[in-house]
Amino acid sequence: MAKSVLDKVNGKKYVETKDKKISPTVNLSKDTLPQKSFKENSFKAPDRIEPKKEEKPQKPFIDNYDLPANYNTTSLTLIARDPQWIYAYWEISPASIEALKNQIGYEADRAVYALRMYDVTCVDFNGHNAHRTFDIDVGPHANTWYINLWADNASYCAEVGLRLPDGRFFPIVRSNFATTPRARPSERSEQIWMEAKPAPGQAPFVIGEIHKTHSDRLSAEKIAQQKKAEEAKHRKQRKIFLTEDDVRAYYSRLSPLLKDIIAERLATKSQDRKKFGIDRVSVYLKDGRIRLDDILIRGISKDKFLRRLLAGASEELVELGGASESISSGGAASEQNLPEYRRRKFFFEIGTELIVYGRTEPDAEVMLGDKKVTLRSDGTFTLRFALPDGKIPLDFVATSNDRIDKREISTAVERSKTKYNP
Amino acid sequence: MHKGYLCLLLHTHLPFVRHPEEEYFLEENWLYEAITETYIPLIQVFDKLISDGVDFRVTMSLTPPLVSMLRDPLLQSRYIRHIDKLIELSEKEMERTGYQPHFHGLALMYHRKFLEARETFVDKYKKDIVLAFKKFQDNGYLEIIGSCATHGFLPILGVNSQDAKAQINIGVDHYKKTFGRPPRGFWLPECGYYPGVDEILRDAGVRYFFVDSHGIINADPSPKYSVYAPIYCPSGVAAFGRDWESSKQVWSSREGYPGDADYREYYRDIGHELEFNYIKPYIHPEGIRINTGIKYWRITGKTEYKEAYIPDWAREKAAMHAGNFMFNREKQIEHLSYHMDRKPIIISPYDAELFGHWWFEGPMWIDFLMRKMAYDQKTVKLITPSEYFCEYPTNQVAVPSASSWGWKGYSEFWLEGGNDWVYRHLHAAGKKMTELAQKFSDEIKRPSKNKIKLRALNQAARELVLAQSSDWAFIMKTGTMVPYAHRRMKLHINRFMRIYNDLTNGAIDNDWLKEVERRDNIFYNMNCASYYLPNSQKKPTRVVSKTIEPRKEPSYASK
Repeated sequence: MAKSVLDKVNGKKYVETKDKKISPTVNLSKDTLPQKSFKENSFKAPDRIEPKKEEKPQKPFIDNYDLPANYNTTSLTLIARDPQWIYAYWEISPASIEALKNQIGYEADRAVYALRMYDVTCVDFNGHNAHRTFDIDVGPHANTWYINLWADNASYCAEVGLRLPDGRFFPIVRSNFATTPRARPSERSEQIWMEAKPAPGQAPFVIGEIHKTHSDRLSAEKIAQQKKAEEAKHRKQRKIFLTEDDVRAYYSRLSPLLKDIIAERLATKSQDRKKFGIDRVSVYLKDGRIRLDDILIRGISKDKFLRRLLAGASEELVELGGASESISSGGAASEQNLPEYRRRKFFFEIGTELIVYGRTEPDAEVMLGDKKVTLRSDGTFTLRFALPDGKIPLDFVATSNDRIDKREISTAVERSKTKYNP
Repeated sequence: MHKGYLCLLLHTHLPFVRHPEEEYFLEENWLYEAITETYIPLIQVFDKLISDGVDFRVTMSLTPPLVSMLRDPLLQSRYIRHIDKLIELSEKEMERTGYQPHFHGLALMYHRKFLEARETFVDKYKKDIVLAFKKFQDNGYLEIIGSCATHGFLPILGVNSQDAKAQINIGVDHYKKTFGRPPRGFWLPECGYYPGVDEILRDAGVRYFFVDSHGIINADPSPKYSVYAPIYCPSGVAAFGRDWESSKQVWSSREGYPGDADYREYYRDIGHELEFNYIKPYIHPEGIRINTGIKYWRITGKTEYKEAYIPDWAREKAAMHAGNFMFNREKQIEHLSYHMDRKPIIISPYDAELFGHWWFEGPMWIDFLMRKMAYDQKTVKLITPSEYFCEYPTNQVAVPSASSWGWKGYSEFWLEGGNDWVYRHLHAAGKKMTELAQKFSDEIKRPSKNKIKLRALNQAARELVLAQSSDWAFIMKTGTMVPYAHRRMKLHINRFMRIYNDLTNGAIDNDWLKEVERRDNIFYNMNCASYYLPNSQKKPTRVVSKTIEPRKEPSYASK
């Protein structure tokens, strides 16, 4: 203890105390003794219990404080840090990189290490159908990266691999899927209500309005239609009961993360279906001439869904209702009200980042403003910033280990105001 | 007739710090300080409210590591040693301050507080204060909710879903063992939620959990009642959202109540101020100055200049602040109920250690608040979430957004330059644990005679969950006691890796394993490895309703 406590005070790292030997006497403290000996003592409530020394000398107990440098695997993991950033870490075993280089052949020497990010929001990713991809050149020695993204509420998958100058990319390993959190309120506002009781019970339901419209011809006969719809609304508002699985299937399309979990659950739960009132749904809808399953479970094409995602429309049910009848939810934002640019699919964004690097003595201390910069073991450092509009001052102060030498470097970076010309 | 509800939620948690191999361990003081300054004062407040017939409701989480420490005989006896020392110090202080009228009264106050703490701990609750909270729950005043095995931060651990499942299921089963019934609610550590975690909670039988405000506000679809009513996840588990306004009033270091000039100053402790030779017997034996808990100054102002603490003024302020808090909730409820077609519920979650430990007058404030809510107004009613569902079982369905209540609202506090290196090891260890459980699944279900493999597997799982505690990453970020957090992280990963290697090589060092079992004895009576079995293979866990017998450990003498 003595050493470890003092280390804490001196701020030393625990790496230095590795293989700390704890003497056998420490090890022989009270609790290791056979339980019986305490029972006798506990009545006396003594100040100190003198431990009976065991006959055979005990092996010293040694804790190792060196973490494994690698696990000899090839893996890549993504973790969503916040709506805009994903953290990636990876390990590539020497064997797998050798195998890949052999596969590439003589050109391998000219290849660079790259982290390829795939935007797979609401896509069943098969390697080729991502919405977009971008590469980050990571170099052969990096094994972590913070990746700045363009949008919140997006799913990403990544591959680490080698890229040749002609653009061919040879992946070594593919990551898990990471979905960034939503950063703003949802624009969808349909209401589905559920009653949960301790006993497995009542099915969830939609408070929906069924009205007759031809959504395909909405623009042509808009006024007449809407009037008609208004009337129908009052006439046909009804409660539609859903099964639990309906709700799951419905939500599963919103998040690929949920999709996997739910798919797993649907597979295991087929025998439970009867319990949750699926009969009720079909019976109820017989006179409605549409099957709720068509509305809620039928797959929808990627295009439609992506547009809805971008536009935040909550009119999914309307669109899916087909030509003859549809169900819409109260208070939904209709697509006509959205600005032009959101309705169309085309998008264009740019972003800027800033990388600052430098080097000094490995044991020196470098400060950026009031923050300490972490140096690598060779004394180099790299800082990566988001670069928003405006000025970023960069005032570095390096102090040598013995506190005698001090160098200051001050600079600043400015990004002029970004102009958006619609 | 009341127009809305207030749910006061206290989250109690401390990381598992227990070092039988050392006689005195600096970090164990976290527990002792929290017992004296927070848990016992809260118990005293609740006991008094009940004996005075005040109808109150508080929701509380007691995390498994904290419960394990509170029920650990070694730590219990060490706490008695600790409080005896404090009583001795306060006696000396009474003498020393004899001619200082400003301080003498305070010395008497601390002396009385320590004596009462000892009495509550030893005589009234027989060293097991978890029983006190259980009693309040059984009497219907308190609702205790469960939490993860070791406060693992699920949005990051959830990368391996088996890790998140084990954290949750161990937590739930530990709750059943402790309180003799399954938990209805669940505290997601640091309010860390990601879509999908509710499915695990549902399978564990949990009905509701809590997220930060933006988890509800950014839910999809947009919830009709914002944070003032729960929403159901598609899994049927409900999510309650934190109310930002009431949180800020108490939490904020600037505008919050605890920063008032009349309240006691936390940072001026006699352990750091008095002459070294005088204080030496009461600080760490190595001569490291620590907080003793005896503090004589009030906050006074923002400068270093401090004046003596005056308990009557502070008490008056606590009453005033309780009244102000209540008044603001009344206005809030009146405003909300005008816009809503049902009674709004305000969720106010706080770290329990804020009350008493940081904010000395906190327990007193709770006492005043409970009394005022019961007698001085009719607009707001105190409620627990379970009671709320009796009135409103129908709620909107939406998916909360992934979030936490940490800095910036997401995972950044636990994932940044200073602590991101841990996840590489945690995820690798988690995968290896699942691999072990699959490989030795027969051993887990039908252990062989000498059980050594089963013991090794269970210990491996314990080391893994101990490493997964979000506290280590948290400490690495905050910057105090960082070497200890580094040490614990490395130690548990290494112990895990050693067991993993021993098991795969088929050679287990029994003496070594015994020693590790003795040191990291959290969940010593649970079959931890079974939680890493694939779902269909999991051994059905029996609910043990009778309270468990703590293991016998030597007790320190009390004078």
